[in-house]
Amino acid sequence: MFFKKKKQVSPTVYTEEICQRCDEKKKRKFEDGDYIYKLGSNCKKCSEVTMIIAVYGEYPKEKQKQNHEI
Amino acid sequence: MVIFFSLQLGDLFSPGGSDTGNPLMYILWFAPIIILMMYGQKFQSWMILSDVSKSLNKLRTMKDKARKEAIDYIRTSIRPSHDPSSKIDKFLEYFTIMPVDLDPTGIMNKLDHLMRTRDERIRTEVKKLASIMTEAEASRIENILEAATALNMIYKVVRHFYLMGKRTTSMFVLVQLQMVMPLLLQEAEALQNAIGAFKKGQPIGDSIGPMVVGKMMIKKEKKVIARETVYSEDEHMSRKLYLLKAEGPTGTVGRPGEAVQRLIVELGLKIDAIIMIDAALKLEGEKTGAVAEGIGSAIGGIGVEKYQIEEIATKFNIPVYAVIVKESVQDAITVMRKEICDSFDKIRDIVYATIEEKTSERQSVLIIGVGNTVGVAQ
Repeated sequence: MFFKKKKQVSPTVYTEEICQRCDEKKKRKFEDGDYIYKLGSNCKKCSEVTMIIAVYGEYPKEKQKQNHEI
Repeated sequence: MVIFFSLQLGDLFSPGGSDTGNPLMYILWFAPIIILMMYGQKFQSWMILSDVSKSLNKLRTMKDKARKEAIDYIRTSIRPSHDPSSKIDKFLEYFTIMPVDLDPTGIMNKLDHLMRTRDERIRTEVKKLASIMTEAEASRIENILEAATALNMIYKVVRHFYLMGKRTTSMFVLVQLQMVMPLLLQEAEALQNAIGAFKKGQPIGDSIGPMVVGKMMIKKEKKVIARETVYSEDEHMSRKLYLLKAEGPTGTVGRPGEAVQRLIVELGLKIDAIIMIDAALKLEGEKTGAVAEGIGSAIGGIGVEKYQIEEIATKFNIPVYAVIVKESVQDAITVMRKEICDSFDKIRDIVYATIEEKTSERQSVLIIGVGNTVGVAQ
């Protein structure tokens, strides 16, 4: 009644790709089979094969604040 | 109005009020105090029991969910010919008896042997689940089962102390259990989330070390040096670099201790410095993803790998430098947070600065990316 029950917040997982020629970065939602340093899709700018350089989870702002230092 | 109201209340509840001569008021006033003195601890025990019971129910739900997720994953991914439920239940009850430590001489070799036997047994049992299974699938299932086993163990230990406290109505057992419960629930939640990350093959917070070294290994020849452990050679500012990490993107930590021994003792490489990159536990108040430098072997686990690396480093007089990324236990086993991922550039800069400052030209450096390499290739 007085204490709000804490909701468990799940992060949204993103994949970041970078073009190996023009360094164009692309951020998209994680898809099954993605892993870091896997060759990804073709670059929209120069058609060179991209490479996945990061897969990470982003929490909503409130959760970030909660987990952070004073 | 307020004064009048407080006077009325005072008359009602104070034995020194208007009814000073009424003994019934005294009894009514002191009875609860006496009851609380006699049964207060019992009331407290009941309240703690009900609190712990709620948490225990949460743990049971998590444990059951983890078991179900493991079974469902096995059913859908490798499609075994038989129902895997009974085998999974057997896994969850699997235990390891630690070697005797009354005489600690040689305990590391015993532990090493024990852990290898355990890993081999689990791997063999997992592979028995289906006739065709890739190494990646096998390691995913192993990781999921490990998390489910840990959850099962937490539930069983908490249940043990709960029932013991209930049977003996011992306040001390119950209070201790109530105090650690929030931490246990946090850990259980992290383990449950870890199952999701392992199922999808997503990198976890612990994968930051392999992620940094993996980047340095891209387009280099990879050689297997120990089980699930690879190394590559590179050069930086006229220094020879040996890059070592567990073989990704499967979920494994490899055997870095054994790999270091083989590189230095069996292959006879002359190493002038070792740099280890790992995730380390942060203290409350510290920032997730903060990077720190230090000295010593940055590697967790039961201690066997650490011992092996320290032994070699001491024997060959090799300085060991550590670069750590601070994160909580929850962050270490769940999908990698952005803050941890963002520390990548800083770690790489520190590693190269250490190489340049601590070694001279034509010297050799061994860089080890320590941690679970799930979702990180090389």
